[in-house]
Amino acid sequence: MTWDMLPALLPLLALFVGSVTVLFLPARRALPFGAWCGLLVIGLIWWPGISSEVPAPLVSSGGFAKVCTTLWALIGAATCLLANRCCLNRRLERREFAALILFAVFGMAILSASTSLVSLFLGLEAMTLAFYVLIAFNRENPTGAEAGLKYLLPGFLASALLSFGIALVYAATGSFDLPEAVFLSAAVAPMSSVALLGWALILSAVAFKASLAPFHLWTPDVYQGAPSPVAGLLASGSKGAVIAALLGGMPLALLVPMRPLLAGLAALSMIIGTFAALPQTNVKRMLAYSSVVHMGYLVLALLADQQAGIQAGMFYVITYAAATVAAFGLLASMSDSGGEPENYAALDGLAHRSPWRAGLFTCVLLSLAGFPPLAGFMGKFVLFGAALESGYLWLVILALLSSLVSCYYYLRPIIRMFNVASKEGGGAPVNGGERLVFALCAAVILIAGTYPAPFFRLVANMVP
Amino acid sequence: MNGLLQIPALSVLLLLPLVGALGCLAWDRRAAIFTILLEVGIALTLPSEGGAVSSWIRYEDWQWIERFGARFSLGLDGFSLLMVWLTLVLMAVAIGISWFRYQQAGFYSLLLISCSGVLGVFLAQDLLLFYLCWEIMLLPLVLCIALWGGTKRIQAAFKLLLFTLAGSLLMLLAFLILFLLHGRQTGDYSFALQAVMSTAVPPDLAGWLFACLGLAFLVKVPVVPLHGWLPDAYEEAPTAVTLLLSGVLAKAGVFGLVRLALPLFPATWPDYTSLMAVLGLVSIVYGGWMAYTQTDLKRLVAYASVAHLGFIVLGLAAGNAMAMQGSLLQLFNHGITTAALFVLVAFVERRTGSRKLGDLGGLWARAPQLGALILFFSLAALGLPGLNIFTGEILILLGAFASRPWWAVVGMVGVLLAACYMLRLVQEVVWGEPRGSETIADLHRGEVALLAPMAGLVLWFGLYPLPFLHLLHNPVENMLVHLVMKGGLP
Repeated sequence: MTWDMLPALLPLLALFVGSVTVLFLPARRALPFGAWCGLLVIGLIWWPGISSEVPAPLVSSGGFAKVCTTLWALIGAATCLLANRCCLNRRLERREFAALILFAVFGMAILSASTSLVSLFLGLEAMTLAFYVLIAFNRENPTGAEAGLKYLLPGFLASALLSFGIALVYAATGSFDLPEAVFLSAAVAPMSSVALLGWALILSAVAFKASLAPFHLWTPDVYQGAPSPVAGLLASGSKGAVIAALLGGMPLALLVPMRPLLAGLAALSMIIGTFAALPQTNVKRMLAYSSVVHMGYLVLALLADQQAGIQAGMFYVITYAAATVAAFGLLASMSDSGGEPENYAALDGLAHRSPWRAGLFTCVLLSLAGFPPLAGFMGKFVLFGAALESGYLWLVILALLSSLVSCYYYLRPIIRMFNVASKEGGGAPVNGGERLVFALCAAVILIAGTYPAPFFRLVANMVP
Repeated sequence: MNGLLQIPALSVLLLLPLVGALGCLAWDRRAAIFTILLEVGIALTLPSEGGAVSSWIRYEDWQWIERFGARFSLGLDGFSLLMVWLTLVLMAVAIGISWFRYQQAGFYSLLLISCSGVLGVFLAQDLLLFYLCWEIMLLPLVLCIALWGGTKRIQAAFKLLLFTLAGSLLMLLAFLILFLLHGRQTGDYSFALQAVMSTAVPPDLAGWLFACLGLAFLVKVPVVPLHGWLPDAYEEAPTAVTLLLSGVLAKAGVFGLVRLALPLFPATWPDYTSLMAVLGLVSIVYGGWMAYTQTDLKRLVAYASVAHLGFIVLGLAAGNAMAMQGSLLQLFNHGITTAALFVLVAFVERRTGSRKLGDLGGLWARAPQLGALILFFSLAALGLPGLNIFTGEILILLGAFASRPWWAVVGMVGVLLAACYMLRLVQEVVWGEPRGSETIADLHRGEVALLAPMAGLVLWFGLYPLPFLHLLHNPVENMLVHLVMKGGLP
């Protein structure tokens, strides 16, 4: 490690230093500082003066890593802005909250930029460690503590699987380097079955984090128990980072025996997630199951041809992240000291009490359902196109069927919102930070749906 | 034409309703009226701008999504012009009839968004754009039903949504496969209709793709085995939505069949003509029979609409110039007449509080204008010579007779059935014992103003349809030539 690697590592360092610094600030400054820190990182990534000629070990600093880190930093900044209200309402410690969010983003950045199995492990663990605390941050809330425990136990299991898988892959191929280890186990590894077992274990660990069925059982309880901004970060950022790591560094679909496994994960996630979401009456649980379905769609990107897969997958991650952050942000912005309006019944007549929120929520849900001309449709379209190109017709048909059924559970809350007003009194007014986040998410949802060309250019830069 | 000062009229036409929808929300629902008047103005100036002889009256093309070769391209020919007119007339009527009933601006903004989608469907020359508009057309109306409909509205809305969405997802799949196929063959990944049309689709795949598209379009029409959503949706929906569903969205289904399914798979078409004709005939007879047995006025008109749409499908299946022209003309005729009937049903219901045939009777004696208009549009619907439905029906039946005589024979049964159910309607509602309250207010001026232009159109298309047939001549010829060249016709 030498000094000339510094530019490549600067964004990561900034995140780490930021997460430590924030602990020494006054409490009311902590969350805004977190948001600014996220923006600073984005500035450091794209500042033309800081060019990284010498690659750093373990993490890449190419176009893929740059865009990914930007995305996670943006989501982290948004989470800081959204968390303000819920921290104040429930008297949570804001300094630790901001620090943990930045640390989680730090982990995501390492994870999605990892070029080695070691950094993969480090990134995943750093991210997960922050989430263990963040999910159970509200100690007074019993469901919060339960959720924390439910994330902790599968998390340990996943860590164990991951480390064992890495050990097996290293034993078989003698390499930690990421694309190389995959290529070696595809072609020349002397112990190819051991390598395959290792990859299967790594895949199942990753499936835990991305909540792919049948590893999704923790998801609904954790989403329900966690504070909404954290659930948003978990759904968009951490899952996105895991998928990005798979897309960018681990072309698992090159290993022919892994393909049926991936296809099976995708199919199961779509089917189980869809049917489990149907009877839900809690928005957060519904979004949890819907995220299982969306992760199932994203596995299609892993199966597709790598270039098209990266572009389609990352575009989908962007659209999904915008919708999810906005959805959980809306729930957070409607929270009061009593809690968040989680049940569909609490949304009754929202359009009369708070028309802008209802409008945005409608857009978000329709985008998740994949109705044109919103971003979700474009994302699905690109993704399914890429999967079709690689010949996964039956998976695409399954995905289309599941998005057909999904309209039911996405439309139910919408209809409740626009129903005749049943409750008096408006929600609390939207504060500045929330307004900024909502405007940004709405812009992404609308623009990526109607004129996605700039986003396509962005993701086209990510292909190595 | 001056190239510099040329206004992109089609794009304006397509996007203006969206602006109007925003205006409704931000300002007042009166924005809807201004928007629709502006739209009608633009639509009326369209034909004067280009020669009707060339295949396109207007064509506009913009860059949209380069990565996927999707372009924002809109094309207008005689057929789409007729459909655009129909859409705007019915949209104006829909807004007019809801004006005093629904005060919320959201209702009008949803109607306008849907209008934008419908216009897009009629103008789009790019498969992706078409699909986008196809979905935009539907969802606002589903929301309208779910929020403003009758007692079973949620159920009806979901039924409509699931039926049509299932169809359109199949369509999306077919488009994607076509896109990839075309890209692999030529190296040019493009969604442009003209380009994709030249794709050589393997025959076994073409059958499947055609079935996907056909299903998507026929669900929207709907023909009989696919009509499960129709009775509930038509009954529960607000009148404005009902008349848009039957008057415009059904037409979009047939339009898609003519504009996409036929030209994209010309060689597959002959295998399916018999099936299409049978579907059309089944719709005619079943719809007519169901209409005859209904006791609810709105359901009666709904099933009558199914029967009439069956004629249109039959005309397409017959596949000669006369039947085709008749079918396309009938799209317009049917839209006007059915919409007028739905409007009249709403007027009757407003005055008597009931739609049941048993509760009604003797309207003429108490409200002569209303009675006269019901009689007039009923006669039009049963195909009285001199009124609009007759023109289309006779062309379709003559064409069908030329290609397969027995099709026309069964079709004639449908005409008879139409006389039965329409005369039953007139007899039980307009004539007979006066039932219900003693006095019923006659139509007031606004209501007459709503129906008078439609009555004028009924007469015009019935007595002098020549200019419109002329409008349809080129599109039909082009399509038949294309079909013959690609082996779609013997």
